[in-house]
Amino acid sequence: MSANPVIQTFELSKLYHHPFFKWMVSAYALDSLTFQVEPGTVHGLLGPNGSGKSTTIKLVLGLIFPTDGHASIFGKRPDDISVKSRLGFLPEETYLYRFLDAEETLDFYGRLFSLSSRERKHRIDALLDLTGLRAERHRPLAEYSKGMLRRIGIAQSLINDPELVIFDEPTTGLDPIGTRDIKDLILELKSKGKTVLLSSHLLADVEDVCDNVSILYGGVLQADGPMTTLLQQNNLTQITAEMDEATKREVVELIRKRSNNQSEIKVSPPKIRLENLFMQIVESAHSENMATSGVGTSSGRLDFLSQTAEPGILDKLQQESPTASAMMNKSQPVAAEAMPSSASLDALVADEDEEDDSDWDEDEEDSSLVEPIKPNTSLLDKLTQENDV
Amino acid sequence: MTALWAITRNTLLMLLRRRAPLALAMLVLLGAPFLGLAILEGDNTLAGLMRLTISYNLTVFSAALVMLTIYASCTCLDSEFSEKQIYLLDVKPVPRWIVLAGKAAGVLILNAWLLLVGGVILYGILMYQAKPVKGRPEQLSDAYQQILVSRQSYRPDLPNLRDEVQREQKRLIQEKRIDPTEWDQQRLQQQIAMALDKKLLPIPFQGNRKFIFHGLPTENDSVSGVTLRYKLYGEREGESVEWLQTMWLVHDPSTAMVHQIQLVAKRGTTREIQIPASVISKEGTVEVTLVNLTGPEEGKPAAKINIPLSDGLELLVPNGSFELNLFKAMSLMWIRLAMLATIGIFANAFLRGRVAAFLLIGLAISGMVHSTVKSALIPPRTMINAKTQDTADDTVRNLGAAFLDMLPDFSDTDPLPDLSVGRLIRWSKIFHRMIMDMLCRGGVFVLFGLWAYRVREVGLPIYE
Repeated sequence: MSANPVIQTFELSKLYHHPFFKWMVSAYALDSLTFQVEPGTVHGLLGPNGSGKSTTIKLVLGLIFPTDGHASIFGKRPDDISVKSRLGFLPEETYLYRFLDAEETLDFYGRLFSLSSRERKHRIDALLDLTGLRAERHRPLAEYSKGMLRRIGIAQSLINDPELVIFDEPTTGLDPIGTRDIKDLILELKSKGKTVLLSSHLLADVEDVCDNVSILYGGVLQADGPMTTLLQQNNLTQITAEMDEATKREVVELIRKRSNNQSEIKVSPPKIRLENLFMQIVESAHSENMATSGVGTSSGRLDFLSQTAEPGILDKLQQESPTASAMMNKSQPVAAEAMPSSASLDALVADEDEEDDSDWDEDEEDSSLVEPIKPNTSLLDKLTQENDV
Repeated sequence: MTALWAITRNTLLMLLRRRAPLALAMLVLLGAPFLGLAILEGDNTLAGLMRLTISYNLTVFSAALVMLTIYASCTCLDSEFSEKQIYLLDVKPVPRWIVLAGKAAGVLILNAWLLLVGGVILYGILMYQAKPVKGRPEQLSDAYQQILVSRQSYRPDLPNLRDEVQREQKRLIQEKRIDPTEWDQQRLQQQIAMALDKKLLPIPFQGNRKFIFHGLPTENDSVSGVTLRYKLYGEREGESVEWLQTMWLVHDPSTAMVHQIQLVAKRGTTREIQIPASVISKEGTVEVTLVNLTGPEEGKPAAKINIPLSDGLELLVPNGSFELNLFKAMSLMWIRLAMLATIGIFANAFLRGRVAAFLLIGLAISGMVHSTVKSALIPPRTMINAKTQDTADDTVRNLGAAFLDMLPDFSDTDPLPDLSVGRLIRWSKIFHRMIMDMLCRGGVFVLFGLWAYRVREVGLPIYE
């Protein structure tokens, strides 16, 4: 538990009253919810429909007031104006102005954060590239599909380079590619040190990206903790390897022998996830330049997003080691700046990736027994690589 | 300021891109004046036609813009709630009062813009009507002197009846027709003065009455001429007289002579007489005498002439331009719309849109019939010969009057009576209305709306 959680609730409760007969309670939406979201993590809020996820988010954002208990963001009351400039929010449905187009929408929200016109333009371009809506930037939102609205909704939530992003059912209405993009974006945000509160009832989405999870049912917190702890089955072991039938039989026999036939053993070829298969097919079709309608491919870089978390190893090296700093200066002059600006940040990230790759190569030489797993490349980096190809 | 302007701009875009209401307003603004050109006839004089054009257009503009304002102010915030865009707006670092202020500013700017369009159209039509045409140079001259002009109004001093009032009050008390202990002395004396004025005012045949106007600009102020505007009534044995023979005598201090103007005037019709500016004395006073020449007729006795002092006699002196006066007229109308818009938007902070719309429609209706309702509910009571004072009745009437005074009276912000006769609309009137209507009447809703919106749970489900 962090000493300075980004979001903290204590005994948070909410009763909805009858609209006219205020003494009559129409619903018990939330009951004594206590949880916290750590900085720099992706926190999942899970639960079936009506479990209190959206109510929790509304309470945390100050859109409704608690019947009992309290909530805080960045240690302050939810209605504190200074807090609101540090967060981005995507509601469960995209509540945008249908009479505006994508560019006007982002410009409007940018103005609410008092961004300069130059900064607004820069961020709008970056976000439209990210969401693949650049070509549709002048179409009124009234003509957008649900998926496109979702994308522009996500873009507006990032216009202020927030430290905390609250996504309420972000993948609703999105196709698998869009869903994958969102998940990659969440991981991208996390890699930049942002905190993400993700509410969803799609378990796979949460499982893929969340560090911690809180599970709600009937307005009551049922489980809360790190994803790995909650999902880990310590009494079972899974081995994945290529082996012939004889080896397989031998391994099974060995396990039976060691466990005195007490252990239940399941042997089957592993399945890849449907999402991965789908993405492979789509990427293959895309590489063959097959025509499609709908949103364009996400591209561009969120270079305006700042690094919220502690500096990475590369940044530390830069600050601590003059040699490393000199090396960085040699290869990428902008990376030598003491405080990474939005422009230099990407350069840093790019260098970090290169550095990681070279480190990895060294590791590969040292250890040939372990199959190398590349660090999770971000969507943006991946797309940049594709473009380069 | 960036956030305030962003919300204002967004509100304007919302109103402009919702095509139906705006198209309707534009249709009225553009269509009605041209329809008026085709159908208005007037009294066969150019000044009469122009007066009718102004009256028709301002009435149509006012009605259309009041409706548009009610629609705009009751939807621009309500739609944020019904379409839930408020979820995104409320989590931005913008104080809630800025949201309300931005919405109000958006509607006010739209109103100002539409009024400007309407004003330009009206001005264009008046200029078109005033184009020189052969055979009517006098009519054109009249139009420029009476309509396309801005003239400051001066009223005559009311007669000093203080001594007469004191004597009359004593007599009434002695005759036990009033009880001085039960009535407010000031109001009682006002009523006696009114009764005396009615009794003393009529001018008998061959009689005269002098009226003195003070505070006029002196000759040095380069006044080209003054206009005497009057309206007369006459009666003969309790019957009204249609045509009245009169003579006006205006003293000219510069020549020590008297201008003599003999006229036959129709009962209740307003007329204007042009007088040279030399009648204004160095002290800025003008003396005017009305002589009654309506003698006996067909065996009937001579008629008496009455001149209502409240609106029956005034001197008009050119001051400012018609264009500026038209702008002020539009400003007065804007104040009325601004008050409605402010009330509508800030009422929306704690009421649903349709409830706020009903409230605004009620206020608009009450504004239109305010003076009629007030005189019906609270008729002027005479204290003379009153038997006893009914305290309860008086309390209810006073409460009723106080309540009515809280409601807007559209006649206060109606520029028509002034603009249609080329009378100057004073800046002080505009500022006064701004304070009374926008700050006081609108301010009540602003304060309550701000408080209610501050404590409102914007994320609550909306029940239809």
